[in-house]
Amino acid sequence: MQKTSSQKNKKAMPKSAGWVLFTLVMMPCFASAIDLRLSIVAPDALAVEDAVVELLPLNADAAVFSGSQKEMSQQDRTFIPFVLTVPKGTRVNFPNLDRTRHHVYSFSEPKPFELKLYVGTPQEPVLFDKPGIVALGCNIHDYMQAFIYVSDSPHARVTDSEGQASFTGLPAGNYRLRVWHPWQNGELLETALTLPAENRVLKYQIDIDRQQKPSAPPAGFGGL
Amino acid sequence: MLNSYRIRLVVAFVLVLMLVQLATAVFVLDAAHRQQMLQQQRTLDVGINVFREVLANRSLQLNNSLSVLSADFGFKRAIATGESDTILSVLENHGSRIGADAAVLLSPDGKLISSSIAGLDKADIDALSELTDSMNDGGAARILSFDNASYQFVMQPVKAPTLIAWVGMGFVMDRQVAQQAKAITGVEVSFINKDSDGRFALQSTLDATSQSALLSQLNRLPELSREAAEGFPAHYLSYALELDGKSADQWVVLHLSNLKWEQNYEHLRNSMLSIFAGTLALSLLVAAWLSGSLTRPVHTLVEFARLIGQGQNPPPIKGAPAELAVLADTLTVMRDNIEARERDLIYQSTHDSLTGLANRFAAKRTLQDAGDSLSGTLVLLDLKHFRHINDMIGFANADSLLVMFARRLETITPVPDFLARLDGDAFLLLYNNGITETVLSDAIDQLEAPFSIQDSNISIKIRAGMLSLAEHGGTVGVLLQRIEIALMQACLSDTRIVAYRTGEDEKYQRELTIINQLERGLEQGQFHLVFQPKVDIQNNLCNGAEALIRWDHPELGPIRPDEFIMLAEHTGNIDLISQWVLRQAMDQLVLWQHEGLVGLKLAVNLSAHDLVNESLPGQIAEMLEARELAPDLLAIEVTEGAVMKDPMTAVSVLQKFRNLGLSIAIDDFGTGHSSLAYLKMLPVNEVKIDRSFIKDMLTNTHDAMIVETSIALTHSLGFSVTAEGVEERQTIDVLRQQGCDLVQGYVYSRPLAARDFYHWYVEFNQQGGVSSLT
Repeated sequence: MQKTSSQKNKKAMPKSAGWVLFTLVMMPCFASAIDLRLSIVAPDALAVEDAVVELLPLNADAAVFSGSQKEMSQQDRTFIPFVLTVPKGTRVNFPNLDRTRHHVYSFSEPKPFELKLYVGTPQEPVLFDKPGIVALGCNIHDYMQAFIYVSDSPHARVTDSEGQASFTGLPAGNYRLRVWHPWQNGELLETALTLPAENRVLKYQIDIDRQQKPSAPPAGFGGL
Repeated sequence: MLNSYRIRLVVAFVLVLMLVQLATAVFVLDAAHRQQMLQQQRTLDVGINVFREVLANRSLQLNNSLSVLSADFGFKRAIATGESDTILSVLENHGSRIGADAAVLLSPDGKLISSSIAGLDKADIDALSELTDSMNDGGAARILSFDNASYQFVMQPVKAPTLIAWVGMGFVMDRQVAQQAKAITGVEVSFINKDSDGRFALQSTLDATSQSALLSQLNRLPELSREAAEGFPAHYLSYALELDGKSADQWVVLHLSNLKWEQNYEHLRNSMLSIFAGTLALSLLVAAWLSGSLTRPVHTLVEFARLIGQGQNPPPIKGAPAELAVLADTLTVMRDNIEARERDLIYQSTHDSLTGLANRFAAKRTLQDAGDSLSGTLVLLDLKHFRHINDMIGFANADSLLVMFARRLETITPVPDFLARLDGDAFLLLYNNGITETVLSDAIDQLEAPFSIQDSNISIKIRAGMLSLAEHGGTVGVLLQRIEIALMQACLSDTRIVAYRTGEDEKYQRELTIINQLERGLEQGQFHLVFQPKVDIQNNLCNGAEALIRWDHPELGPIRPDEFIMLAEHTGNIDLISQWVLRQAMDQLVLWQHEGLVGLKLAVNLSAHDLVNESLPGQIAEMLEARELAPDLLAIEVTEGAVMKDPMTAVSVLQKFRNLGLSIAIDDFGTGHSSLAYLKMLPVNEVKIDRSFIKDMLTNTHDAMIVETSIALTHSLGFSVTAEGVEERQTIDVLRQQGCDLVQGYVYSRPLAARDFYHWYVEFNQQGGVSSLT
């Protein structure tokens, strides 16, 4: 437990740097390519980290973005990152940085798969070609948990520890905004958004059950 | 003898003991019962707690098992396929791994995905869904009811790694579970399930009989859930728990056998019973013994009293308690007193209290008892004129005389074989070998020797009746009557000894009756007085009367005065008649005084015996005084013969009468043999010439001369003259001529009853005595 809290502190360290970044964003932007910053908060007005924000252009055809690769690594028996968002058609590698083997699986409808006990990086990355949410688990470490948000749109981000996600160079037009979080209560937030908007910083509120982010318990049977 | 002292004592003793024992038994048994009950209750409470623990442990165990199961990758993978067949088979497969009897799969939002139990309704699913919520909160298993069976249900999330489903496993609460629970808790366990149709299913460790007993009283379940109670089934203390804590459909009942403590209780009760029975028997013996020792003296006393009651003389009681001894002594004294009194009574009934001789009753009985063997001679002695002796010397001295006479009788020769005092002065003697008149006369001589009483010699005369028993047998009554007749004859004839002769019964019966009934006749008012006027012929006025006695006997009719007076004189009863006449005459005088017959002088006749009774003047004085009568209204008439019997005493008594102020007349003058010298000495006022001279004086010159001479002589002595028995008017004229003062006779009136005399008197004196002459 001691270790968990120290890790949390470590993660909280970039906070002050984030606030510096936020003040920068507040500055005026270019007209043709729109920069947008979204801030997600809980009803308690605290920032929501690991929320997925997707902007789906309504007037553009759904495109397949192939070729790009992302990573969902496992380190200290923890999936990193906790939430990963990829456009559909993205291949994701699952590099194992631990000395222990992992057995990564998903039974989620967009992409059920299984990477049986392995060390290092599996030979083939996994292709996520259908949009949706894929819950990841490890068969030998039940506490390991992560989510891959396969988005229709290329404009999808995960909020940082400040609860913010930044978009740059967005074309003007009508969008559908989706906000999702693993601990979200109720349906995911979906709303229409027209760019350029009056403000370049938009704030949304979602209801979540705050939990401890999955992390490895102390080694040994006592932690099981 | 149920009401005897002893039985009462024993009953009281035993009753008290029984009460005490009963109270003890009730108290002890009740206390034991409470104690046992309390202990049973505690034991059951422990059982209940252990059972809860068992249930919780089992829940935990099942939960753990299920959580392992739900984490199984293959299980998750199968669930994740979403294929219902696959899911059902993996549920069955994995369920059997942990021995589940039912398995269900719910979606994360509580919808039923798959179930091994057919026909789950919405309520069932809701219940399961609710269970998932409680599992989220780390809750334990719940007992759910499906298909009339209770299941211990646990649910676990299926995470891959997010929640993809809820898996639930149910473990039926059957007899096997009950047995396991029983093995741990040590009490009998019954699971009772009621389905929506109201059917009950029972899973129990109890035997079949007890189970059916249980099913018959399921309505007691709510009551049993509040407090443990007995009789569910019999011989068990039972407590019911609601399994699901909600509906009243699922129960577990824990039964703690009462058998052991019931046996203990029975053992205790039986022990107490036998102890009490023993104590009771022992106490009965002791009570019987104690009460026996207490009551034995009482019984002895009762027996003693009973014997005394029967007139026996029981030996004195020895060793009795003081009180009873006193009682026994008192009884003895009482008996002795009664005996003494009885002896006295017998003695008194058979003896004369004065002389100590046998009395009339004893005499009769003695004669009666002798019966046919009676022989010899009976003698009845009588003291002549004992009544006068009595009057002369006083009762006390007369009694002394009788006693001395009795003593002398016992010593005369020959000594009588039997001696009795019949009454008064009548003594009966029996000579078994008979006695002659001569010998008897000698014996009487001995008896007539003077008695010395208070320094003066008293002489007595004795008359005797004799009866020879050989010649004159008969009943005792007849014998006594006959000898009384003989004695009476002796009295009347003034003979010393008269022997009874046959045939004299009837002759003397009348006399005997008159003599015997005279006193009673006086008492019963059979006598009355009549009055014959005495007329003053010189003045033709009636100023006096002679009172004459009459006796109307209820059986014999009117008895002539001559007859009963003669008999009374001979038997010494004449003084009774005189006294009676004096009283009656004075009472009549008083009456007439009140009626206006003032100055009427009444004459009464006294006998010779009265003239020797020196206390008579005093008695007459008292009588007059009591009636406030003037003495000169009363006149005494005595016969010449009476005076002449004892002239000295007679004169002295007459003088006393005179001194009182009474008039005295000499009756029947001329018939006696007295000399004129005596007449001169007599203190008289009046002389009555006997009727025998008057009767024929008109025709007989001698009589006429005697009358004339007597009148002259009497007048010369200073006495007035009365002529008796005058029947003709000419006689009156002659008598008036001769100077006679008073006339008495039928020529004026026969003797009249008091009322008639009153009328005659009033009429005669009003008319101057002329017209009334007959």
